[in-house]
Amino acid sequence: MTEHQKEQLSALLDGHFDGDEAVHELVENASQRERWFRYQLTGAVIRGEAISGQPFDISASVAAQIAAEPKHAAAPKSAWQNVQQWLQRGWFRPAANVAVAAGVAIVTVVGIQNYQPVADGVAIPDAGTGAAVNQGFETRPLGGVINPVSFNMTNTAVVDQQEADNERRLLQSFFFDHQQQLQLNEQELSEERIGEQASSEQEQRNNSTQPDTQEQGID
Amino acid sequence: MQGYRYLLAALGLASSLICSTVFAAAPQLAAPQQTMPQEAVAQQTVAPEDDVETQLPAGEQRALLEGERWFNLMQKALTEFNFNASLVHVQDQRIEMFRWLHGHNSENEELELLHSLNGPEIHIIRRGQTVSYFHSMSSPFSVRANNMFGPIPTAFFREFENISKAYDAVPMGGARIMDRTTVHVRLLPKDQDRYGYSLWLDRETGMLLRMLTLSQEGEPLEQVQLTALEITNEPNPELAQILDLNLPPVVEDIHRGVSVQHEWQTNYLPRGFTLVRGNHHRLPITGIAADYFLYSDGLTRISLYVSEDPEAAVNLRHSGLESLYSHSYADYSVTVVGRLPMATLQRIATSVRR
Repeated sequence: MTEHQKEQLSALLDGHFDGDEAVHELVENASQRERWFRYQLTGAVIRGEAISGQPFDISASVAAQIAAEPKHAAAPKSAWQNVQQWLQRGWFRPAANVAVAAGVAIVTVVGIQNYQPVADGVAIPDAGTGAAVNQGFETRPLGGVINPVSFNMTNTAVVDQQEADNERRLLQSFFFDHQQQLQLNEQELSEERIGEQASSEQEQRNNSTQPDTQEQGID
Repeated sequence: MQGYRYLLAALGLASSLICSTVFAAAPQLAAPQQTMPQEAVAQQTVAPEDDVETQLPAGEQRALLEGERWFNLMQKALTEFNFNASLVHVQDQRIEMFRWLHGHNSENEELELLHSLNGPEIHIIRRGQTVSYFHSMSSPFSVRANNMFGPIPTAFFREFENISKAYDAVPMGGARIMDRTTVHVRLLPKDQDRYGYSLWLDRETGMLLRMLTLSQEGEPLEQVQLTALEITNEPNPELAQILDLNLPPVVEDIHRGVSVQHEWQTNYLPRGFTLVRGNHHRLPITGIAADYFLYSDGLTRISLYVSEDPEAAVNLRHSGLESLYSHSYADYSVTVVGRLPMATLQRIATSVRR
């Protein structure tokens, strides 16, 4: 595959198409197709389709989005549709706007995981609503706070592919969780601080008989 | 590092001269009744330290106190000023740009907005202790926190004493940044097993204008540089709109209170790291169940996972600004993640015993 084709493929995945002809050409090219497959597979792994607690099927919304785009809606028989049909035959689903550049991708985009603490009989403290609210939340790449996991897809060691994908999935799992725990720790810290403030205010009130040399001398 | 001691001694005189004039020029930030007790406290804590650094030459001590003072000026600037800024964040091949607004409402509650200008649309909105994250590609959520989780370490929004066990702040001279005269303050780890920081603070206001995260070899790992800054008396009217927003619900910390399943022994931790969070939970994506420990030295936080799940039993390595090291034993595996050099992560990971 030529560098130009790789660029085209990358652009296709990024949602920037040069034109129908280019798309058609990409689909027709066998090695191109394999590469596309692998990019998509990566996307699937990144999204962590395995144990997602809540339905995270974006394909429908993607299809709707695509259909809504005048460029594609206007040309129903276009090569883009061929791509779509071809994709739907596979077991994987297209990722919407998942920017996978040809060489290096920032693999930080992960689906919402409705992860539970292990069911070990320990009751989860409940905020009093009665319902076991279990919100997953997504930490996103921002200012380097999420580590970009770079990988190079140009190395076609197909045998190791599965192993490499598995490792990547593990890495993502750990990095993603790390980010979440950091944020939850901020939450813990802020709650502690509220507690401290309350108790120090209490102390101040108790000591209010003593002469007050602090800035806020006026009551 | 040996060199730095000599440099400090030499700096001692110079900095005492420079700093005395500089601080005289920035009186409005250094409310005297606040800084004096801080210095007193700092001297007390330096004195009883049980290691070699007890007998610091007077010049060095003074430099450290000035560094701490500058750090706290920065902290005040970041949390108290009304400002409109834009900044770029550079890491590896990536460059990101943000608009950053900060101010207070009439109840003296902090309002803050960080908005990405490159790539996917990200808004982080902070109203007092509620920080909401909006991303164009995912559902919004809120976290109860005192700081935004953004390009600037959260420790910079807290006072120096939170990191003083593990880092020294040393003024190293100055530089011109954004056409302003700045003080270069280095955050030097007391032990050479973690990353350091370089800060350039506006001499007049103490505001952070540039930041570098540095490897042990002094190589920059990431950079933050303000590209525009306007400090105003009144907060930006845009911030007032935050008050009208319906913020998404606060994430519930379901992991908290689920205690770890085993008493693991972490036989090595770098100086200053303490356990700040521990639980047992399943990881996203893979569903691996693990005992989880979060350690912090006040600035750097690392996650330690101990899992008996065979799926986690892979010897993984990943180096970057955030690195990962995992090590498998016969029936459990240990993974450490965080902004530490690989060798330090390895030393921690391989010290964990049942």
